[in-house]
Order: sequence, then C-alpha cells, then structure tokens
Amino acid sequence: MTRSLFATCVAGLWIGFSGGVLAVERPVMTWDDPIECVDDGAGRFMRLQCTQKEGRKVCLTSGRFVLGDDGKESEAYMEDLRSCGKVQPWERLEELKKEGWQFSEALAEAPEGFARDESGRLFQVTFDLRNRFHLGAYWNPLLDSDGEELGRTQFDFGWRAYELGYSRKERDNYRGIEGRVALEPLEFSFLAFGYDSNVNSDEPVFWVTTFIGPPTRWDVSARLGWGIRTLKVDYHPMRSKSVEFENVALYGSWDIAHNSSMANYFRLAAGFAVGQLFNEVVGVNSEGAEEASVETRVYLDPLVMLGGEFELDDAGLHHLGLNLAGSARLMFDDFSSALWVAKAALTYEWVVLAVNDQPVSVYVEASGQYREDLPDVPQKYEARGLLGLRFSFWAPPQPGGE
Amino acid sequence: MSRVLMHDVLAWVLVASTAACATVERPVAVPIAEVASEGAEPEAGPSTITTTALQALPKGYTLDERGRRMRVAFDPGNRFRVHAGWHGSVGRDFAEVENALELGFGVQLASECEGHEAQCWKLSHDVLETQVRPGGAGGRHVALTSTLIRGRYVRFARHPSVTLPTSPPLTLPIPFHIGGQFSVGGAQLFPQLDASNVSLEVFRGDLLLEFLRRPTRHRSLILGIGFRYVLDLAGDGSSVRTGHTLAPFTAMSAEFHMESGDGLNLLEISADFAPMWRDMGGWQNWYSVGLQLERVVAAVNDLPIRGFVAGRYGTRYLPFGIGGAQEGFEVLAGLSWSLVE
Repeated sequence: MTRSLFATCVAGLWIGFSGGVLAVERPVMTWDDPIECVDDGAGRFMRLQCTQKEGRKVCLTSGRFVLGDDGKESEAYMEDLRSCGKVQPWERLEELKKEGWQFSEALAEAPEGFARDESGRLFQVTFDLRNRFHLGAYWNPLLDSDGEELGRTQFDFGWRAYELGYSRKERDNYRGIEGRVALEPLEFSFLAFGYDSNVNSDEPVFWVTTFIGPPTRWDVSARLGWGIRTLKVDYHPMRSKSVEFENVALYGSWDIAHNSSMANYFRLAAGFAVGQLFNEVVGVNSEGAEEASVETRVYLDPLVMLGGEFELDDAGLHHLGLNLAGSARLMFDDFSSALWVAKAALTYEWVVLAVNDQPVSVYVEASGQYREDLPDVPQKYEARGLLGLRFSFWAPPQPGGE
Repeated sequence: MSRVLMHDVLAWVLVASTAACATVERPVAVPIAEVASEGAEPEAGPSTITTTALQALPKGYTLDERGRRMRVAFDPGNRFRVHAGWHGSVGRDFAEVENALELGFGVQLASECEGHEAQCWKLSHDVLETQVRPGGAGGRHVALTSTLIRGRYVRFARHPSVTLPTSPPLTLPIPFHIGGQFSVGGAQLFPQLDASNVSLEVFRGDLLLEFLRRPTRHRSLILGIGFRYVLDLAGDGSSVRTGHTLAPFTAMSAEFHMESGDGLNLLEISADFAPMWRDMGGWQNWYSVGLQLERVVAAVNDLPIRGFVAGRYGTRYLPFGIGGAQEGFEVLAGLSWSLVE
C-alpha cells in the first residue's frame, strides 16, 4: 500500500516537472477587448479582435472550432468564447486591410483563470484551493513515546469555502465534513463545522509616531475576527485508548498581517474550548478479574493559536500553512492543575496536474504533538509526517484583483 | 426716524456679518492621496503632498510620504499624564539601594504671552500631582506624595521696572520679572511608616524673580524665597500626635527650565535651601538639588510617550525627626504617557 502510494507521488511529481504540452508562443486574444466576426455565409467564419497599440494597427484572428488531431477545424465549438459584437460580411476584411490593419493568427481568448492550447481547448490554470472538497491518501510515518511506526497509511477528506464581503472588507471562511483516518492502528478525527472571519479596516485603530530618528508614523489596523469550531472528535489520538470530543471552541483572532483579500494571513488567536475526554480504564472487579471501563472527564481548554496560510504564487499552485496551538487543559474534576496540550504543523501543497480541471496536488505535512492529558501515557509526544496526493473537486479559478 | 434707525441696524448687522465671514477660517481641501495600509500603491504619489497641504495642517502637525497626518510638536505645559518608572534611593553612605516601582499621574495647565503684549501674566498650574510607590517596608507600606494644586504666576513685562513714589515718580528698570507661587494640599506617606503617619504641606508661598524674561515659558530662570508650613500627624488608634515645621520666609529656591520649541525635549535643574524650624528639634537646614530630563520617544494616536530621568540629592523629609535628618540620592526613570496634551 505504502509503496503504491509512493509510486503515485513520484509519477505526479514527474508530470508536474515535465510541464505538459503547451508553451507555444502565439499572441492571445484578450478577454476584455471587443470581438467582431466576419462570415461569408458559405462556411467561412473568422473572429477578429482589432486593437491599435503603439501606432500599430493589428487584428488578432481566430476561428470558433477546436482543431482536430490533423490540424483542421473539427465540428466542436471552442468552450467559453465571447460572443461577437458584430457579424459582418467577408468584405469587411478587405476594408480593414485598406485601412492599414495587419492580421495575425492568435489563440482565442480564455476566461480569467483559464488558458487555451494550440487546438483551442480550454483548461483551468489557476486554482482557488480555499474553495473545494478534497480527498487525500498519504504515507504517514510517525514517531512517538511508544516507538516508531513507519508503515502507516492515512486518508483524509474535507470541505472549505469562503465569502468576501462588501468592498472586500470582511472575509468569512467555512470548513466542515473534515476528517482523517489512519490505519494500523485505527485512529481518526472528524470536524463537523468550523467558521472564522477577518475584517480589513481602512482606518487604523491607533497609530504610533516614533521620534527616534526622523518622525515616522506606524499604523496599527483593525484586523480582528473571531471563529468557532464545533463537534470535533478524535478517536484514539496519538495511539492512545482515549476518545476526545470537543463540543465547541470559540476564539477571537488578530491578523498580524494579511493581504488585501485576506486569503494570505498570519494570525494570532485566543479563546477556549469545552469537551469531554473518554478514557478507557482497566481496573479490577470484585472477583479479582481485570475489567475495562470508560472514565469521562469534562475539560475546559484556554487555548492560543498562532498560524497562517500563504499562497506562494498568483496561480494558487503552491500553498504553505503553519499552525501552532497550545492549551492549558483544565479538567472539571480537578481544577487545581493544568495539563498541557501543544500541537504544531507545517504543511505544503503543490498542484502538479489537473484531471478534467480538477487539481491533483502533492501534499506534505510535518507535525508534532505533546499531551499530558492522555492517562495511558502521560507526557506523551509524537512527531509525524504526511506525504501523498490530494484530489480536489470544484476548486474555482483564483479570483481576480488579488 | 424709525426708518433711519432701521437702516442703521441693518447696516450694523451687515457689517457685523461681513466681518464675521471675513474672519472665519474655512477648511481647506487638501489633495492628499490616502492609501491602503497594506502597501498598495498610492493613486497619487508624494508629489501631491503640496506645500498648500502642509500649510493647511494645524500647527505642530506634518504629513508623511504617504500623506498620513502625524503630530510632531507637543506642549508639556498642558497635559494630563500618567507615568510609571523605577525609583531608586540610597543613603549618603551608599550602603543599601532601595528599589521600588513608582506610578503617578498629574495635570499641568499653562498659558504664556503672545509676544506682542507689553505686559501679561504667564500662568501655570499643577493639579493633583501624585506619585505612589507600593511595596515599601517589605511590601507592608506605601509611599505616596500628592499635591492638590500648585500655581505659579509670573508677570511678563516687555520693559520691567519698579516705580518709586517720589515726586516726580521715579521708574527704575529691573532685570527680572516678578511673580508668585503657592501650593496647598500637599500630603506625604512614608515607606518606613504605616498610613497613620502622614505629613501635610498645608501651605507654601514664594515670591519669584524670573531672569530670562521670555514671553513664552520655554526657558526660564527663577529664584524664589518663601514661606512653608508642614503639619505632621501620627495616630496610634486613640490619640493623634502633631508636629509642626515652619520656614518663615527662609525657603529659597532656584530653577532653570528649558524645553525645545517643539516640546520634544525638556530639561529642568532645581535647587532648594531652607532653614526650617521644627517644634521637636529646633532649626534644621534642608537642601536639595535636582535634575530632570524628558524626551518624547513615541506618540500613540498623537499623544506623546516620554522617557524621563529625574535625579535628586538632598535632605529626606521624615516626620517627627525619625532617624534624624537624612541625606541621600533618589533617581526616578521611566515613561510617561499624556492622555491629553
């Protein structure tokens, strides 16, 4: 299983490096400039985009059908062409020539986030991975207090979406139906729903002027938000015999930095979570035999999180993520001392190919945990890795104006 | 007649309204390109921050290269400030340094002459000047110094003189301005003693001579001589013991004050000498010299944060002569923040 996954990853990387079939240097008709068409009424049809730039009068031309393997027009229309502003008789070409326009064959226009190949076929070239449903399969080696486990496999799935508010000042992020399942031994986690928001303020909350050197003004903007996470289950976390059920987590957040769309951010958040920890406890019954029972402990987590997400390119092909979280877990049955829980994860995702415009990416994650709340192994640490492929569905092109 | 009156009234109204309109300072549209804080390119660059725009700003403000307004001049004579700092004190023998956190607040109000007036009053008031140092005597006691109000009034005259009532009157030029100073409602708690021991500076009054003769208060050199009365109270639960300390116009003081025109820097050097009479102990000489430096290091929402250092060497006042007259150094260093200035 592990070997086959690894082979798949290598194949994906090779396809990504090879770069595909494109890379033909031809002018491309733009999406925004007007299109006019000429038709001779006998089957000849040409699309024109005439623009005058730097004193040159150039008309880019294209057909409306996809080229076949023989290089001739097939009967299939190119997808998502802009409609012609005017359809004029064929003689229009002669008029344009007389007016000094030069003609140059070009690739037809493509909507934002898409491109056309030499044949006129349309394909998506940018991906907004913050709007998608994904499935993933990974090699999942881990090292913890009990030893190492190098042959594990993990699967995951999840949905996420976002909405930019009026004037791009608010951003609402949603995630849910998010799960991970690791095999041998079985371990899974599931989150039903999560939400967080950011606000981008034009006016600074306050500003600081420094007088060491020339007076310099530093603005501190209101990049505040909040978030909620509800119904999260961890089954046998860190190969323990416990089940953790987080009812709800609420937190306020401050974006230390973010870009104008708030898609890339570095954030500090603090709040609390409430849940239950179900521990399997083995005791001795009245007859002297060992008997397993479940101990339920209700906890309150004051939590702090620091992290961010970063798109490393405009096309959304490279994503970097960082998440550090820590809490001093307080058990309701013993409020006197806190049990420390700390988690850290660094992730990288690279879209290497797309199948039917659905991106396939290589996903790498390095993570670690330290927990004092698991009774079977107190003061437990764990380091694990993930390397595998993610198949994303319904990821739209990157929004413009980033 | 009534028509003439009506005409006059209308004429006056017209003249008055015209004059009013002529003196109104209308807001000026400033062509400043505000830009997003995320570093987006400004629609119009620094070239749009014109001289006109700078001139349209209130006094003491400027624009940065992104067109954002910021205050670069301050007025330490008019502020409500809070401060926090480290207070260290040591005796003359440098045997043991006592460290404490000092917190404080106070209001300062001042006015100065416009410069074109031949004579005017330069006024300054300190209201509720309070310093607290918790944690004295191993955390049991609190040191507190507070003054309800202190007022200083200096009469500025372009050509200061004294007129003698001779016949004819004789006017003699003098090289200083004359003023007065008072303070009432001073209270002091001591870190060595509990709160049942309090020292009240009931009243202090001084006659002042100011030698630099500036219409503004950015620079001054003041000598003073005055009266001082301190009442010490000590309660033991059933009775109150009192002590009286008096300087019968024997309290002499000197102060040099200098601040930069933009209010960013401030320097003050002071010295006091006062033969004081105490009902327990007779005459004692008290003295002190002090130095204070302040510098605006930053401003939050145009309200300045100053770093300051103040040092003092001299007699430490203790009620009822506890420990005798002690001498020592005191240093205070910290930050103050003006909530209003």
